[in-house]
Amino acid sequence: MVGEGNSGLLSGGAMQWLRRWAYNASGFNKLGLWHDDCLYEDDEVKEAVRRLPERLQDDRTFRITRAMQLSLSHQILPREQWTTFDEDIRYLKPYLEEVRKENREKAEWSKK
Amino acid sequence: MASKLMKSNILRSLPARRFAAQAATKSSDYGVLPREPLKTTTLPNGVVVASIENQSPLSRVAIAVRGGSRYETPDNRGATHLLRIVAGLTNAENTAFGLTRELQQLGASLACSADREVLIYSADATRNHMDVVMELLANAATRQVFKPWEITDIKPHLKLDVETTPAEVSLIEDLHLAAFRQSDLGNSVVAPHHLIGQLGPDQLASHLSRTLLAGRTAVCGTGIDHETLVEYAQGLQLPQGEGPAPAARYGGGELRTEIGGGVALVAVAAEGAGRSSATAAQQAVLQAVLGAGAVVKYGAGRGVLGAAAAQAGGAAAALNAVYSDTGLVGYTVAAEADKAGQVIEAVNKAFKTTSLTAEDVNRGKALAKAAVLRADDNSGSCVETMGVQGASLGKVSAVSDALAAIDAVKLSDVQTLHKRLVGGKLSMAARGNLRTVPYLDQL
Repeated sequence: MVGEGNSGLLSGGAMQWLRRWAYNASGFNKLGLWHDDCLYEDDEVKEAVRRLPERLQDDRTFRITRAMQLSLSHQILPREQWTTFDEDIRYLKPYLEEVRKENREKAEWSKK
Repeated sequence: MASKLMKSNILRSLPARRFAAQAATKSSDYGVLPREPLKTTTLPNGVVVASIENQSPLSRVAIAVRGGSRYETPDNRGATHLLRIVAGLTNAENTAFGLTRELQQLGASLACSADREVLIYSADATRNHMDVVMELLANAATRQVFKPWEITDIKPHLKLDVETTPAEVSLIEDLHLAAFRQSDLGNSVVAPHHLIGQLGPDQLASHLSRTLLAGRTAVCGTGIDHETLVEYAQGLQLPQGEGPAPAARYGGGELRTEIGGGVALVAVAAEGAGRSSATAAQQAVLQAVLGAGAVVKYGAGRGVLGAAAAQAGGAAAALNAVYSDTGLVGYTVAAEADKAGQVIEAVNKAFKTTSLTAEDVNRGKALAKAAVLRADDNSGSCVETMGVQGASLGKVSAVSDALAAIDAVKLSDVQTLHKRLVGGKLSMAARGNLRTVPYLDQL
């Protein structure tokens, strides 16, 4: 799980190196996928994807379709087209956080 | 002796005293509220604050903005209609869900209404909850964010609203379009059907950024004291600016919409005076004389026009639409398709050629005053009236001023006004089964 940085045991620079290494070792970037494309689509993620602006949704759909095609033909993208650590933006994060906040609010209210 | 004892106060008052004492323990939570007449303040940033402390257990507060449909641009036509529908969705501080549940929990209600000139967000609640509710109202009115997915989810409501617009409303919209053509007052309060698809967060935001400005806002309330309301209004974050000015141009014309059916609805009007004009009170009296609806359920319309229509087999009422700079004065007619021609002829003749007597004018004055007082009596319409005056004119006048203005109306004033109106260029709108309905130049 390539998560956000809480330094914990390691210093800032070392943490960054570890994150990059883990990212490249995961392998989804070789299929041209971004981190948020790989999230398991539970109800919260589905709602967050529904709220994405049309352009981001289309880009996501394209990347997933391309990855599925590559997977079924047992191929990966040429090295130049692999997603890099720096260009991988967590586009779904703000929407997902909003959905989670709303669900927490609903749970709070139903407790009363 | 015995009889004297029976009449004695002590014996009779003892049981009475006990019951009274029982009732007296449950005293009011608020002590004795002072009663305040209408008080207005204009804040340095331009917001008009008006309040009446009427000792009501319910408080009502409204934020009225001079941003009705007349201030829409060709790019955001229909924005006010959609704003009415999305009032209460997610804003900067509350989610739609949270806002709804909070209001329900407090037993409060939040509403948004709009007409051509003014957009009003109002809330009411019992006094002990009013401070929280005012906070929620401020968020809902002044801190709106338009989430694209929420707008998309609620579009079917807009479509339903547009498609179930009653025929009478469409008639009046058509009349305004015929009278003011494509200038600002011709903009309908109902979103145009062909523009529903393109209405979205950008259009709503652009409309609010042009019109939700401090100088165009009024904060009004009943059942609340003036200092609290002034403090509340000072806390509202409203940008400065002039915003669009009224630019109505009366052109005159006619608009006929043939949709078949058994009924014809027709409206005819001439250009009238604005709200702050000297002749506003005279117009109100004229409308009452001509007849503004029935007082008795299922009764035939009253007034000059109502009587003429009833004789010909239809119904008619006088129309007086008043805006800040101009207005429309005329009549509306409803009749069966076959009789519509005769009814319109009769009503039109009555409208144009009736001679007004002093008795008519006195009757009109009494009716107009009663209408003003009736509106003031209901705290909902009272707040709305204050909001409309404050937002569109920048000042709120007390009911007593309105009554005095009506009292000052003389027979000669009303006769001059009537002559001027019937001599002016008329506009006409007709809707329904129009096979016997005459054209404007045939009237």
